[in-house]
Amino acid sequence: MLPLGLARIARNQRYTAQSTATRYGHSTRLQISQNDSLTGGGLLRYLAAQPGTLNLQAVETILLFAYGSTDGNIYSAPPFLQEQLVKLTDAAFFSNTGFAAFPALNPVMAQAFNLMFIALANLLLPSQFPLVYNPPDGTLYPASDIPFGAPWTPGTQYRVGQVVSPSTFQTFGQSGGQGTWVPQQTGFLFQCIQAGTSGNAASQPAWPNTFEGEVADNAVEWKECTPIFISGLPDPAAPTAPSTSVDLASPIINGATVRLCCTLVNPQGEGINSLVDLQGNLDAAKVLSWTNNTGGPVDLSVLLPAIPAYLLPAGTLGPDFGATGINLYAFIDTDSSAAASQIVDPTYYALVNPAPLGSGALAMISAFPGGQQLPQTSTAATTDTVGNVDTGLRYLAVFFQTATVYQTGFTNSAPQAVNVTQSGWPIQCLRLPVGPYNVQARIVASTVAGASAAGPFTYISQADVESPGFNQSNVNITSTIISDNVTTTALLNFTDTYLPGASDVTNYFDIIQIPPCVDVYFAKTLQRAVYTGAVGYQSGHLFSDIQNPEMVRIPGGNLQVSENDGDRCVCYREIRGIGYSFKENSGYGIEDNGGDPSTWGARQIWAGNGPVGASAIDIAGQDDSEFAIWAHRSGLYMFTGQAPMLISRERLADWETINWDYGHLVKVRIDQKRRLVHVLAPINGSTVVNTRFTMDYYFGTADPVIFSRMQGRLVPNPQGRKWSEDDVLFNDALYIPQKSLSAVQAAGVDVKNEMVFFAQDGSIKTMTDGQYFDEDYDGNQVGYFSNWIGVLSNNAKRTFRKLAGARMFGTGNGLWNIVAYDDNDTPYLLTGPLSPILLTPGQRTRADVPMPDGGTIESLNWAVGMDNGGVAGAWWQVYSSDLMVIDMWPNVPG
Amino acid sequence: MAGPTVSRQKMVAASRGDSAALLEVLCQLATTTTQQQAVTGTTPKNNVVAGQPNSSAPVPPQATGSVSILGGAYVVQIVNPGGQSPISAVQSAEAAGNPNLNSPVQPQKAIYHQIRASTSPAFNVNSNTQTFGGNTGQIQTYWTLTGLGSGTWFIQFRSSYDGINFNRWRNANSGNALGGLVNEVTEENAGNSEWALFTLPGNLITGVGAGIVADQEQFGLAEQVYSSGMIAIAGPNGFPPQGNGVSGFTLSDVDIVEPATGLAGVVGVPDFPVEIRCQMAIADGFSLSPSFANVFAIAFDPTNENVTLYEEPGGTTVWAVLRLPGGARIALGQGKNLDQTQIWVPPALTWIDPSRMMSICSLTDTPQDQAPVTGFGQNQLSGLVAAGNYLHDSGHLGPAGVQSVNWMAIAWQQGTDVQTINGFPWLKIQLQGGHAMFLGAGQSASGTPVVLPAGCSFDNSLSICTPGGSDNSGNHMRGIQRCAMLFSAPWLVYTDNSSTWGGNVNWMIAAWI
Repeated sequence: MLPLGLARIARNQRYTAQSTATRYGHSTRLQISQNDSLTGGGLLRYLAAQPGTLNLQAVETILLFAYGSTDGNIYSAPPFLQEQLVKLTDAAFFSNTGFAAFPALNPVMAQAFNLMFIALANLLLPSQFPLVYNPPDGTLYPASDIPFGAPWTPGTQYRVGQVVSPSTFQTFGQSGGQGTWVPQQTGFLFQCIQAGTSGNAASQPAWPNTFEGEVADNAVEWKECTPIFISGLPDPAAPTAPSTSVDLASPIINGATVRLCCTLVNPQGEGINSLVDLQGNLDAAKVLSWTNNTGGPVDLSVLLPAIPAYLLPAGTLGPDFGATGINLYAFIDTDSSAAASQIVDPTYYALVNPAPLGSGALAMISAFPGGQQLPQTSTAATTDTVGNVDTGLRYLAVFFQTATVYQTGFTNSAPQAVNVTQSGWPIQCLRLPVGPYNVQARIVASTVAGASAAGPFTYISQADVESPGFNQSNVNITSTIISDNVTTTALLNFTDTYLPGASDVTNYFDIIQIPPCVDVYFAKTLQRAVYTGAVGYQSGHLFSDIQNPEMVRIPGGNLQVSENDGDRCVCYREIRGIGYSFKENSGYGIEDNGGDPSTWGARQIWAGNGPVGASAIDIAGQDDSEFAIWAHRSGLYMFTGQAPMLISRERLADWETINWDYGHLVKVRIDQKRRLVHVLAPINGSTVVNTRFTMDYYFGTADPVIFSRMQGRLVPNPQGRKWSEDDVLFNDALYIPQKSLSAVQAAGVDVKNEMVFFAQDGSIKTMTDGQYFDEDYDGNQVGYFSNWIGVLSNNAKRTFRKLAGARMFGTGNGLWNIVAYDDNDTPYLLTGPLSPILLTPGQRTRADVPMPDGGTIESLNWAVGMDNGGVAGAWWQVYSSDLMVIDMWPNVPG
Repeated sequence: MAGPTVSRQKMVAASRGDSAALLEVLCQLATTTTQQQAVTGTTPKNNVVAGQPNSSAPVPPQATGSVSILGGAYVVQIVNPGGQSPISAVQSAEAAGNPNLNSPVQPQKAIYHQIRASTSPAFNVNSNTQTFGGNTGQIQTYWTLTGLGSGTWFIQFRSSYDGINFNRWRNANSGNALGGLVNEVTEENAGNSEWALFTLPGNLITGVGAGIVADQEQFGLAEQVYSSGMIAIAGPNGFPPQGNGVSGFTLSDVDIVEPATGLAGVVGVPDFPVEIRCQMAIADGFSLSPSFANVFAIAFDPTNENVTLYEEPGGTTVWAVLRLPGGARIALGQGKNLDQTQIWVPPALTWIDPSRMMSICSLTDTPQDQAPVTGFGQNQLSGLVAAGNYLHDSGHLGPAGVQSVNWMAIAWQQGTDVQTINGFPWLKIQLQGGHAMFLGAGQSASGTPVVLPAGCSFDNSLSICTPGGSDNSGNHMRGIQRCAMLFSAPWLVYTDNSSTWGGNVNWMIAAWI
């Protein structure tokens, strides 16, 4: 009887309860890209109604994703419809994203909320911003994005549509050049109109403070794009170009200071001018301050500002509401003694007649203005739509929503003030920036009147009706989502009693663009996506918001685990519903307290081992429980919630052949159907994965041999694990757990409960039962050397023995070499009359094979081996064998 | 009305389980009951519960009211039914030729008012409707509504005798909206005076007040202004009957009645009572006779940042400098000078010049040993020099340097919006929304109409007149029968109780649009 699991060499083997056999071969199922080594794969399976319907028929989709490391492309394909292979990283992808090709990576892919997330890294260091695949449109997008009005940063790839704010570098007192770029609130935002990489830190562009002003930034082109919200005509710019002429009768005497501001007028009335900036200080952009230093009385001439094009009657506002003229107001302070509070008080300003004047007109002041005081309430309605927006100063912030329903958030520079001075007016948005290519909607959030620019901000997801009761008429509330990426104007109506109950997005200030990371994982218990190895967060994990896999807030979403202890944080996984943070040499249980992840606890559970890389761990079910298996330098470990257990001690010699300098490439993948653990690893100095260790745990994961007290010796363990080292060049694998009848698939191919392998030849392969050859990229048969060598003897006596021959019982097809090995591992091919032994399919063969030369070789122990000679299609399955030996000297001390 | 007869036969059938009969009986009963209730009036009626509205309770007739905007607040003035409009009391008295104290008719029973403001004429919940006066209302008729915020507001009020049962909501200002806190001129009655209030830069509420006050009577001030920030003058206008010739006015003053302790312990802006003195010297050398007085005042908050006060060191002259919209400064001054002396002007105010100044004067402090007079001789500022004396029946003016002159002056900076009409200056203070206040002064012959700036009318004006001269009647005046603006002309009437004569009239007018 074969001592199961005690093979010294088990190569390309598979096991049954009573036999060891040549493993099944692998068939090429998907040709992705020939010789483009597939180093990462992913599975996306979802059941969803067709958009806009409730039809669930034939819409279950199983998509495989593959990454080719040679050219860095990502593909999707439904298994196994070859004709639907899609190259996701096509020219449009690179054109839209501005990304350069990203070859030579080992990405990690994870499904979350019916989206496929891809972390682009080499399993050690992050490389690119993560990606997300959106099934409804079959497109690969950058996951998350910069917040609306993000601070400009140097050396950054920007794409068309992204909106940034002028920024400053802030060190926060840190040394060594540490720090971050923070937004500078200039009141202006800029949109990328030509993609490229921004300049260096010393070359931040001189941002223009002009309407639609443009500026170049290395390869990037920026254009002023500040959203424009009005409720009535807005404050115009200050007059410019002061010039003088002597006039002895003028009140503008030497030493006098003249302050000039303007209002806009339209056929409905006159706007106002707040005179001040958001800090309440006199705003030089709105008020011209000029002091007479000429030595005598003068008349003062100025140029009125031009009416912005978007406010002209020819623009959006039309002839009834467009600005048709400008009123000039002056405050002549003859001895420049006015207090600070007076110069920002509109009641000190009076209208300069004649009025109104035209856009950009020349005006002269030669006397105290005799017109009315500067109005404080606008009468210049800009729409005839009756609104209900409460009066007062409020802030509105725009942000984008992408195709994956990710909402970008916004920065401190994003909120724009609008002063609603008149009840019954809505808020008009005259310029709503069009977002990047992946934006599907723009959203406007608003504070209530009187709140600060810090919020609270809420937005209204759908149009509604506010019922005030008391037999009062309903108030129509407009949605503040503009559900396209085209419209640039909007009319918003809401009340301050409704807003607080709308969708609160105040914490969107904290949303960050997910940095390049090594690992992405969907924590199903938490309903969050978890990113690990992210730039700037190497000691912990970034947790998304609940059910918002792309939305990560800092602070709040970052969980530091034993920060900066020299032990790299590898990944986060859930086992039996409990979250664990895996570091290279330790593990921490994560204690969710219901608050933000940054407040959670991380309690060390064990130390001494951990997954060598983010893919060197897998979670699978076993009977009624769940377990994790990971590869560490010291061996393969299994964890079921208590303590890690080494399950590879019998393969120590093989384990040490792994090139641990490239250990991060190791992948552990579990085939739950066949109960196999695949360890894909680089061995013997290889820098790429070049072998597969397969551990069979069909009957258990216990040690393969146990000590029998009754027998006083080691005996095979029926619940023991069994190993095989396979000659396959697979970089990654994944298990497809299920499919339904409606899943799209090729006829005759079943992908449920199937393990698929991502091969170095650029194809995706599966194991085909009963097939004893592998297929190359084109499907040609490739043989493999199936070999098993083990110690044969149920009675481990320590005696020298002569080998007379072997008695074998097996089945198979074709060549069946039987070899005996002595203590020096010298092979002796056992041959007989039918040598070489050829097996016939469907027949069980019992063979007594004699030792050549009559069995003259003596050895303390004899081993037997079987192989198929590496002949494609040749296989064997051995049920039992026995060596016929002749004891020579009994009881030799061992 | 006869109801259907309920069939006993059906009742018996119903009692035996006939459902159709039961239904019929019940329908007949229901019909009968309804008709019976209609006949006997048993329809449920609200019981009168104490503290709850009762539709049959008496409610007041509708009051009237107006709203204006002043200093960022809405001023609501309700006129109780039966009450006399306080707005035109002074002019009504003057027009009647019988200057006398104002005595509006008061309601016989207290009336409680509620006021509500809304951004919509619908006065619904979504229109930020705010109600003032509590649940039961208040008896006050003058309301200052602050904090309503910007925007257009509609205001209504309603009235009640008991604070429970109110009449219908009534629109103020005929239902017109008041928009945007546009500062305008607000008229306000203060008992024996009328005030026109407006707002200067810095939210400086400024009022022009005028009234007819008896000697030793207190002059009423509007609520928003302070006597410590008041520039005023008083001049004679009417007198209680008396039969002696007079030698002049011993008193024609506006006195602030400060407590003996002065400003000690005063919290806030000082605002002491204003007492008017107007007294004639009987030509017997020792007797005195009271007179009624015109009072004209410009008042404000002296602590406002837009006010700078200058006081004559050791003297009585006070100047207040205020900024107008646009930055122009005006200076309001008052003082008392002996005839032929120069008034004090703050050295810092180099821009004060007689060419940019208007003024009005009144004679006072005449010695009691003077001879009887026909009327006023001179009573004005000539340049910056006071000129004041009386005309004697000989046709000669009294000696120089004897009489004292109370004066009130308004000066302005170069470049200020001042227009000249018929030789008289009119200073324009432009407000918002087309509203403006004009201040003009001059001297005209009695009965000569004054032309107001365009857009103004005497209906919206307050004024004072003081004697500026006298016809040489050869008679001794017993008093000044009238010195006031009547319709559009200033009138001056001296009397010796049998004949009357006139003369030049000094006038100062505040008119607004």
